[in-house]
Amino acid sequence: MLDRDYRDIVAGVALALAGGAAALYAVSNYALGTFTRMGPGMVPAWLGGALAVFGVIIALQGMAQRGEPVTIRTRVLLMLGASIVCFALMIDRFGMVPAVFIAALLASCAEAPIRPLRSLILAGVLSAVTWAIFIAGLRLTIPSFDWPY
Amino acid sequence: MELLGNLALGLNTALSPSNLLYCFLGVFLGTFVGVIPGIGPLAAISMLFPITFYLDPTAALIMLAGIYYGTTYGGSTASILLNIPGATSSAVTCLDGYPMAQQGRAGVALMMTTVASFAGGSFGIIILSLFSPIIAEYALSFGPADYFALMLLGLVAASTIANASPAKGLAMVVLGMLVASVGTDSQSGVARFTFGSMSLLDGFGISAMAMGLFGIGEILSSVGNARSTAIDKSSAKWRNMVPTRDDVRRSWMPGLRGSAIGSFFGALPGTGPSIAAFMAYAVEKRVSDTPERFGKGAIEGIVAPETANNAADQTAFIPTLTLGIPGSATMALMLGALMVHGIQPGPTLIVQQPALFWGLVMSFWIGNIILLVLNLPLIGLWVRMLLVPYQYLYPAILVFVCIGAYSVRANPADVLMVLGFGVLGYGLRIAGLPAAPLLLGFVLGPLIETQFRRSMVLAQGDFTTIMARPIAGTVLALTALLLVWSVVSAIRRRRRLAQAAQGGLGG
Repeated sequence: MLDRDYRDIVAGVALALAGGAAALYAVSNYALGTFTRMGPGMVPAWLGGALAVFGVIIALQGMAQRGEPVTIRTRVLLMLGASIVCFALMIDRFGMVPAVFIAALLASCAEAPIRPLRSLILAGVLSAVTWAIFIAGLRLTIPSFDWPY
Repeated sequence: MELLGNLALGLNTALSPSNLLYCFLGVFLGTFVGVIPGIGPLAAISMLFPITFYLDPTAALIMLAGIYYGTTYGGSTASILLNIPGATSSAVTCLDGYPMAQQGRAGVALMMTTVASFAGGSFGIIILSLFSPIIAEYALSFGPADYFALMLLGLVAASTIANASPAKGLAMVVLGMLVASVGTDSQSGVARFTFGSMSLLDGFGISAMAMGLFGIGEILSSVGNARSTAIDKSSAKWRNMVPTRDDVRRSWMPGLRGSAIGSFFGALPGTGPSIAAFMAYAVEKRVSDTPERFGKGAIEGIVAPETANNAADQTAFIPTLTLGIPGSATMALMLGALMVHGIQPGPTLIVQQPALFWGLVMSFWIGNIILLVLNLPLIGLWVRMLLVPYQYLYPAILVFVCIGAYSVRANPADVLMVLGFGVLGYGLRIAGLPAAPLLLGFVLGPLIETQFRRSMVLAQGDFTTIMARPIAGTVLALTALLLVWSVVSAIRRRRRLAQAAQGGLGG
């Protein structure tokens, strides 16, 4: 137990800052117009202001209540993030099958224990299944294999 | 007799071979995904959203809707067998479903769930086909101010009713509306919050946002969690599924009450299937002569919530299709699917696209029949699905999301955008902020802004003119009441919690 709910405080402050920044940016860059003829900046400015107010309320509530510590699983985040980034980088250069293979391989390593053989088999099966569904079945115009060099 | 003609037209549309196929695919995939614990209709629809870009709008909606009510069917299987709700709307089913499974009556529970779901769904469809044309006709006289008021009510209801903290729900709605304002302003043509980026001129795509927030976000927060897989496999055998005469006798009235409660809460903004199931359960426990049986495997305790959540699934389409105002994030996705195809939902939809509207309604019925036929023999398959280790499932889901995101525009940047929204979704979960109101705000944001600006032009900048309109005024007053009520009840809850905490420390 923590004496304050730091989770809500951080979230509230972040939302308040985001809302304030959006409102300021809208006010200084877009025409507000009048209430009868609203410009493009009017609604975003009010929305940003409202978000800032709600953020402050959330943060204040967090000050007044106890909280639990938060755990962020960096390993899951990193492995799955790497998997998706690899897919995005590979799909245009190498085609769908290699992109799926690598993405599935990396993703399966996010959860302990890592079993290399099972991961390889899973990646192989997924490559085959996605090829069958999307290229053979739905006939998407994504190349299966590609080699740019 | 107009209704009969419309139903015939609907049947004709829904029974065309391709629509039938997509209906089947939708309910099959929906049940499949619904069985997986933690993945609800929102995640399922988000992940399969890009596929429907390739279909015509009727087929797309039939399939998405099939996924939606299919997950509700599948969700109860996980509730009964694992005591883990497959979808939040079937959480209440755990209360009596799991005790039944422990008593060796899982087969009966699954059977009654399937039948109850079908009955509730059918009831909801009848309400939907009777009331939609009436509401749509009435809504033809609505002006921009009335739409603005109704959308505001929808947003406030969705962000306050189901959330413990109204401030968090409202903040998420506003954030969603702000995210939606990125891109070219439809009224003035000015590019807002694009920071000179060409690709942001069209704004963020709803599919990237939904897949990231609910697909990737879900995986990010569930990978590495402990999961239970102890299941009684014999429950899937036919002879264990026959309910006793007593079970059937006890189920009639709860089924009827559940259908009525579900239809009512499904059509209201902000409530939907989860609250409907919870209310139906609470009502049954209240009216029962033997409330002590509840929570220990009472058949009423699964029939009532299961009819209610399936009826609510169907009636939720009433405001979405007749007014173009979704009551929940899932319905917002349905609306998004229509808009992707260039169809603006609203009261004219029934008249201008009768084949789409009535085809969709009749496909619900066909889908429910498919589910009835599909579920009973296939329960064995769903049970085996529950045994598939999550470490094989999540890489598959992730790969499907990536391909889906890429396939929309063949643009790898879209995949990265899904990752960005996924990290945001994970961050929101960690921060205890609800993601569903964010999506609802995102879809309704541009609509509500347009209606608000139009109505202010008509009112010549005087907001009191809007309040003086009978419909808009009443709805705005309701919205204000709802806000006050939710703030008051949130403060009360905090006081009670604080007192409980102090009492705990003192004693």
